[in-house]
Amino acid sequence: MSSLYRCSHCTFLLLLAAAFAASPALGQKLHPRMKQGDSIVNRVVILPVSVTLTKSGMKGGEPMEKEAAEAAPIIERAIAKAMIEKKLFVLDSPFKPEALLADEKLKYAAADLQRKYHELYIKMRRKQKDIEKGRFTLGDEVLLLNQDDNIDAFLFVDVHGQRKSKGMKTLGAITMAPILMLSTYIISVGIADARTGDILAYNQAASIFDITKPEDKRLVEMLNKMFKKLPAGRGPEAVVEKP
Amino acid sequence: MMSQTYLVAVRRDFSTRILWFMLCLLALLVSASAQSRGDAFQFGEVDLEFLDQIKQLDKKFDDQGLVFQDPASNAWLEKLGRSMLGPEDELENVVWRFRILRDSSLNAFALPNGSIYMHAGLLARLETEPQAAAVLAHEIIHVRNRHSYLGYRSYRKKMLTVNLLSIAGAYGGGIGLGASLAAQFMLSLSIVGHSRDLEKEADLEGLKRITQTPYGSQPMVDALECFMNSYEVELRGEPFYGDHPKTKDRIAYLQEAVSKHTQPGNGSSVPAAKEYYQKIIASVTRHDIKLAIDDGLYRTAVRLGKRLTEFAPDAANKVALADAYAALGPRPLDPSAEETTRQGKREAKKRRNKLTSQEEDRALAATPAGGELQKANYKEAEKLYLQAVELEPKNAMAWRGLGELYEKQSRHQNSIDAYRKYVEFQPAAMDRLMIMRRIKAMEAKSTPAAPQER
Repeated sequence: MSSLYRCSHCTFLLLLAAAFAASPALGQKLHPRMKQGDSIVNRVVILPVSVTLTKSGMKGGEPMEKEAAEAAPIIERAIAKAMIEKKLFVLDSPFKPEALLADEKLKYAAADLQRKYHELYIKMRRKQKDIEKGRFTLGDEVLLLNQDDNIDAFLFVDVHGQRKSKGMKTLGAITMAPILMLSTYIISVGIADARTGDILAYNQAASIFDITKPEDKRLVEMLNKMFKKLPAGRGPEAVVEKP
Repeated sequence: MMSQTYLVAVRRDFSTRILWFMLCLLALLVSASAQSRGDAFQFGEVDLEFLDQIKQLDKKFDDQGLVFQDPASNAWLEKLGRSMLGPEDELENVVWRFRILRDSSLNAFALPNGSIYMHAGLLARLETEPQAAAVLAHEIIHVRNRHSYLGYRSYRKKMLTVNLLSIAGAYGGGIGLGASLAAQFMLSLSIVGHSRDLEKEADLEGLKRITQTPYGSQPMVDALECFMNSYEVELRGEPFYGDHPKTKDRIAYLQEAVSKHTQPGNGSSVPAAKEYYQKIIASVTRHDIKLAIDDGLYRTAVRLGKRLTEFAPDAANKVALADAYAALGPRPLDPSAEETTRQGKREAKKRRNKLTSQEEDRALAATPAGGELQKANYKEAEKLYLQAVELEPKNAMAWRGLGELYEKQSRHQNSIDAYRKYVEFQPAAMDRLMIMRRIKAMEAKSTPAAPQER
């Protein structure tokens, strides 16, 4: 009974691992305006990437704040590449920590908007289909970060990763529990209209490979797959009709 | 037959060994944790790695705009914090910093590198400076006694045991598995228990520390009593982490300790002390009101605004209170009896999980009671904004608030006029574009549509 249970458990988890290994896009939802195929987004800004990494070892979970801080620019660059592939123009972010040092108000506004997004994010993840109904919005307060009115959309990027230590992997092998052996990374990107605050797209993907390594092809592939449904832009010079 | 009997015997023997192995592990763990509490603290490799991660976290708070940067409030907190330090607090790998976190929840925490964070929500809720000092004393003890490191060490040891037990459980047959699960459960409980012990230690030693200051011993109890009466309907149980003792219990053991070494202090509850604190903390409270509104803590926002205007009824404070009333919208200031029932809480939780804040507002306002409440709260907000404008005719934020309020009530022309005043008095406002767009949208609504060409 026990070995049968272990065997089925292993098979299930291996199947799960195989599914993850292909880096499936777990969610690609578009706002009705985006679904119509109109290129309403051309110029985007990637907001500071939020990366949460933990190391799961034999001695419990360990924070990986340093590694997370190092991973943030790598992921940002990869997303920028994926956006360029989509013919979207990625503007230099005015919200980088060094840029915000001199402007506390802007820093607060960026932080508050991200917090607002994260509150909405919980609801969006539960009801992803409602993105397609155009239900979610951050409100016109997004304009606080778009004072020159030259941004079409903001990208909110969240990465959650759990790395397994060697000890944990060994434990997984001994107890025949593959879930203990596999690291998991989940990346989600929310695209919000930089004028109305409407959530235009929500994309999520998962991987068992370390996506925080620099110049990793797998991350780029994963992102390209993740943004498959996202309508392509018309190039950097295209003028987007403002509401 | 014989070989089967032999196998059963071997298995039994193996299970017994596994059980012994588990017991030895537990005994080792208990002795190890007892050792670590008694000895003087020495940094190990793991502690230094942990410290590195913590320093990064500290930097992250700054980078992400989570630290409140108001020179006057920061200087006050820094001075207060330093006044609670003694010569024995010169510690290896500790640089004392006292900072305000832009968070509306009732909390404070200490990082092992000496950064102590007081949430804006906590500072706004406290009533006097000695109470703030008491909270700081508690947090200083956490750093002083290296609680984060001890907690982390204990957690690591226990988790290692849990994982080794799971290996043993996997190979120990039915008995082994059962014993392993039971032991794992006990260890998980002991992680929380250890944390609660450290909190109690910080409470009691913090009390000793504050007793040695002119503030006396009572502020520690008073500070905790401030948390007892929540302005909101608590949907998630007691507003503290599970790793703290219950607030009631904390008050009880502190009260007992206070009675042992009573030190009258300089009168923390006299109205003058409260007024002094409210003035010092006014900008933090105003900021916290905004944060509370963003977090859906509308009742807290109104209560704090009321307290603020009670002590200093100036234009800025009136605007803060008016903002809170406008956000309170279709809700009563005090939770209704229905809301505090189990069913009421369940419904509120469901609503909060399901609906966005705008949707929740609309749903509540659609009910007859909600509609009436919204009217009354909007009226109160308007009255306060107008009072602020009367006090300071060029108060841009009051005009902005009026503009938003009238817009919500579809009083478009009034809203446009108020917004225009705002832009006039604050031409370089960050939200100028947003306001101009709102004006344009309302003007478009007000202007009758031109006949369409055929």
